[in-house]
Amino acid sequence: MHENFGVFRRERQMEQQGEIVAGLRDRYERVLVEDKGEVFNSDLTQAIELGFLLDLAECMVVAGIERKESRGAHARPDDYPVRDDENFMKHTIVRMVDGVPELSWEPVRMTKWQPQERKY
Amino acid sequence: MQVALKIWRYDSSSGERALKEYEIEAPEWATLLDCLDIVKDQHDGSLAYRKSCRMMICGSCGMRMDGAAVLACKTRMYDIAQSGHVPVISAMGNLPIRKDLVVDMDPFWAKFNAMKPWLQPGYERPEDGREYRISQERMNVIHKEALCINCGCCVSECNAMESDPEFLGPQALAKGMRFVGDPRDAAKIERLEQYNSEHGIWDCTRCYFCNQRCPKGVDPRDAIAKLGAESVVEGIDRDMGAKHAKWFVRSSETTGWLREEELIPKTQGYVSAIKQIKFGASLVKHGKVRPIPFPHTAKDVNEARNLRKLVREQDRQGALGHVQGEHALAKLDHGHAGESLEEIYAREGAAPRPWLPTLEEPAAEPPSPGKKTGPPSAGPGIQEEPKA
Repeated sequence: MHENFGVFRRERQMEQQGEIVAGLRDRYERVLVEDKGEVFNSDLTQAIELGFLLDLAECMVVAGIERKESRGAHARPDDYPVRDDENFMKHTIVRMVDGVPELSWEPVRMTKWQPQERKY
Repeated sequence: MQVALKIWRYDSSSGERALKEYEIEAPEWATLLDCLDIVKDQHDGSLAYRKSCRMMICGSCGMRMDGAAVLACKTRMYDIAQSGHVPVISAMGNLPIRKDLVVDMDPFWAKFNAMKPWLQPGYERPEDGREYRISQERMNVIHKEALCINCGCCVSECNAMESDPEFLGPQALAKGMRFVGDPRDAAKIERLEQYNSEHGIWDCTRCYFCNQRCPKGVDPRDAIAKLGAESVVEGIDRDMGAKHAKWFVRSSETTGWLREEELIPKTQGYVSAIKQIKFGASLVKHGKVRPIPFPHTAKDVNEARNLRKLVREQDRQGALGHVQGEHALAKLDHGHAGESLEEIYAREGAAPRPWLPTLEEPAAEPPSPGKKTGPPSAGPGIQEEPKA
């Protein structure tokens, strides 16, 4: 994720990352917890957290590929270098349904601050 | 590089305790925390230690290396590994061990909470309705205390807490000073009363270990000194420690030197001093004090009196005066009186100039990672020991 899913994202790299995460998931099925103790078992907590990280990584991959624009910390300089308020002024929602990420969108509620292009 | 570590393992559920040695391959930039990660990932997954930020800001990875408290993430291993020394890693002191390098922080947090570490409301809002602003001068008083990350290294090393576990301790008292010295806090007197009671500031033994081991330069002992100064200014001086300190001032401004003959009665009171008459007699016998307690005045007493006058007139009493003194001492120490940095580093016996990437290096000697971590005095003293 560090290499393929930073601020600057490229379609090919994002798809590649999807495969890497899937491969890691396979390995995670066989995860080993060496520490069998009951006190401050950070081996166990790390193994549990790794599962959550993989969930999150999978969600990021799906959402990142689908957002075909550049916005904030999601920049696609090669294919979609500008912000697209018309199509993507919306929240990305990803739900895990039967172990598969399911993508949906929700509108953004505008309050005090109106959207405008960032210039600096 | 090859790194060897000895780690004290402990399991509180079984009571098993063992010193185990690990040999690992680590990158040259590795810190102690990086090395522990390698041990856990590749050698023994059951090793327990706390960590989070890896960059000296969360205060999770306090532990002992060769018996001295350090932040694992701040301790570079290059020089130690090169020297061939095998450091012993153990959990922090003064707190019960739960597992391996993890201590029970509950007693620590209980004292922290007893400080009521938040601003007690009651200050007046500025007339212009904007935020309350603090002058730089007042900010300087609590600047160091505000740097504390609650890692517990000072508590681990505290000698006073070793003999009295109820002692509030360096971390809590430094936190207390952070609020006592804040002009917005409305509970200054209540706080000082609390810190002046039993197990409070005057129980500190002034060993300065907390100053030495603090990885963030908080200098908790200085905070305790500031609390003492503030207490005396506010008239909270019933403790023997306060009376003792006050007598030093009183005797230097009246006679220009310390009147030791009266130190015990002035500190403990005359009644209890009578019980120490035997001790007093032996002092006289060994020529430590004069037999007749009539004070004589030093020749240049007016210098001492003028100094005291200066402090009073400029209102430099309490913590403010303490910080002023620190600044003056720092200037003497680091020689900023008109000297350039080049001149300072060229002085005889000066510490080597820290290596910076922009400086041109002599080609023969590549910089070691250890040199980048700052002047030798800034790091925990123990890092230098393996070489000795």
